[in-house]
Amino acid sequence: MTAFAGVLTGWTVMPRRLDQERAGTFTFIDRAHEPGAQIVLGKRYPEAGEDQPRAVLADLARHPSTARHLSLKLARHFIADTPPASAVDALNRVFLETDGDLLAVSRKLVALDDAWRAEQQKFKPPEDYLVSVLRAIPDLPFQPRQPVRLLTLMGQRPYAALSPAGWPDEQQHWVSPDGLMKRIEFADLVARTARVRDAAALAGECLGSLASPDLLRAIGRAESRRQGLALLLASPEFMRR
Amino acid sequence: MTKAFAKSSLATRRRILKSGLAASLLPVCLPGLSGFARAGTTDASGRRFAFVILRGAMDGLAAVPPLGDPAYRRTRGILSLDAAIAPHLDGDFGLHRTFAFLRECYDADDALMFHAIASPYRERSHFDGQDMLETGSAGRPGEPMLRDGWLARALESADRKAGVGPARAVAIARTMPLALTGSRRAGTWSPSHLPEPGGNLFERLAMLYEDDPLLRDALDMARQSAALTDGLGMPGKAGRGGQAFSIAAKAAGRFLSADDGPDIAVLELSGWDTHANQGTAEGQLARQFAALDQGLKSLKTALGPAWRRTAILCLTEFGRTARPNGTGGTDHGTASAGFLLGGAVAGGRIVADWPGLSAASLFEERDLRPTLSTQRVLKAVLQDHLGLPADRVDSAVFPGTADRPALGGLFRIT
Repeated sequence: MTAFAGVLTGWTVMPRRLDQERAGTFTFIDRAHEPGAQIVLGKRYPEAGEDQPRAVLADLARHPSTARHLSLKLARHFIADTPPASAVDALNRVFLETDGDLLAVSRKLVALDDAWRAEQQKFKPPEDYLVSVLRAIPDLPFQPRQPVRLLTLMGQRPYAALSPAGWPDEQQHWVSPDGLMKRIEFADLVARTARVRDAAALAGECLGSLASPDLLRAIGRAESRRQGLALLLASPEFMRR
Repeated sequence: MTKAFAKSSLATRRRILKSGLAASLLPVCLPGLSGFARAGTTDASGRRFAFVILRGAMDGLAAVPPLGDPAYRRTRGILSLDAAIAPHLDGDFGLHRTFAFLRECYDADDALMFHAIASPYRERSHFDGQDMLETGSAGRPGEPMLRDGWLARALESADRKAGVGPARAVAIARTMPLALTGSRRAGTWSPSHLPEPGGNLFERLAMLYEDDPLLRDALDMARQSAALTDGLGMPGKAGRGGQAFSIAAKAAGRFLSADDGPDIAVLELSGWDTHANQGTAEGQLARQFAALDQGLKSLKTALGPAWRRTAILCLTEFGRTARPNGTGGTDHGTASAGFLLGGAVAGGRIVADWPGLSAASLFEERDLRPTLSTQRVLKAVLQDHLGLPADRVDSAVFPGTADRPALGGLFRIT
């Protein structure tokens, strides 16, 4: 870890005093780079200026642990919290065969049958949920910064993940009593302000055959238009994907 | 614990202190007392517990300064406090004067202070330190960190039907703290500025969620929480930190005092990472102490008669450097102080095996040396307060820590 930190030195954001024009851009400053060879994961990298960190990153990128880690993360995000091992293996294989070509891995992901299953396997985190609501009702009148406030309230303040590992991707983290309550309050607030005349038709548009008969019946029997729309936005079908 | 005292290194360190520091600390850890409390005589029914996580590493040497340690002034330098700023608790330790409520509890024998306490974590990352505190990992070299929380495992290993151990918990937080992650018997609550949904939306959603156990249970808990926290508003922008914590504490008090409410509440207070200008009598850290103290007071008020059955434990992920840094603050350290208060606590004392602040006694020549493991306190909470059998605590909640037994005698025997 310490050696790797040494490898990374020199890469920085261009300070204004060194270069007015390129200030603020990503750059390598040779004299800020720790000189000498470094040993990372048992391999020796000789002094080579900016080529040293590049060589280390290239090796880390094609490392089998990286392949496994990214394959699992992709499968977990796009298929299910506990994705089938066969899907993870398939991605892992492509990653290793193509020397870590993410475009090839993504193509493989899209080609997997597991990625196209109709049943909803994922609970949308607040960000995804907010995007879903905006896609369903594009003309929603938002105040500036209101989306940030709403995401904060629902437990996902933008760029503020609780640890460097980022936001969790599993539903157990996102289906909490408080998170659900905030989502229902938000759904109700949207229903109060949106100009949606027919929530049942909207359910058909954004959920298609995933909208259950129970949901359509509940929307039909709602005590008001507003409640019908709130029921749609807070329904299990709408909150999952 | 008394056995540990006999080990020469500790004895040597303690001899460095000329005052009665060491002697006054000894009676706290009588083995006979701990055996009695753990013999299953404790009636744990109706016991309540609040765990307050102080995120960011609280400077224990500023909260509970060891005024009687001969090396204290030299080590703390510009951050030294005197008895006017931190009135004596006993001959050796003071308590920062902003802790007015905590002091009141201490004088009423309802609060005790731990010192030189630390989790098994010995590095200096907030994230990993908090993870270690909250998972209750044994922290042996080479062993991976546990992935779920110690309180979650306690909930899962309780026997609800037999009324043994805690049944339910609530975190006053937007996202589940790690301490409670891993149990379906734990919920979350936080204040909201959104209007309450009108009509019978909740009833109708409950029908939609009927076949979806995950959503159904979450909605159930959320609705109970809403009923208990009715009227608790959002903090205003001005008094964010402190005011928000007081509201959270009030909510926790309402939850814990409800007849069918949870047994456990988890609270968080951030803002302890005082790298610069932490202040002494006043300033950044004193304001933070005041926020904590005010919140604890709100918690007691909201608990009402349930205070008698409650224990509140405040711990931080690690302490701060013994010496000030170049910017009037302190950097990430090791051992710190902690607080245990409530009507169920056998308080009015300081629980510490004081390692001393001389250069030779410091851990890695810079931090207060840890002499008490947080795990021994957490175990005591589960066994002696919440009534979880000791064998279950050792096997299911804190695996691999048999050498760190529950610290006895922390709770009043009822």
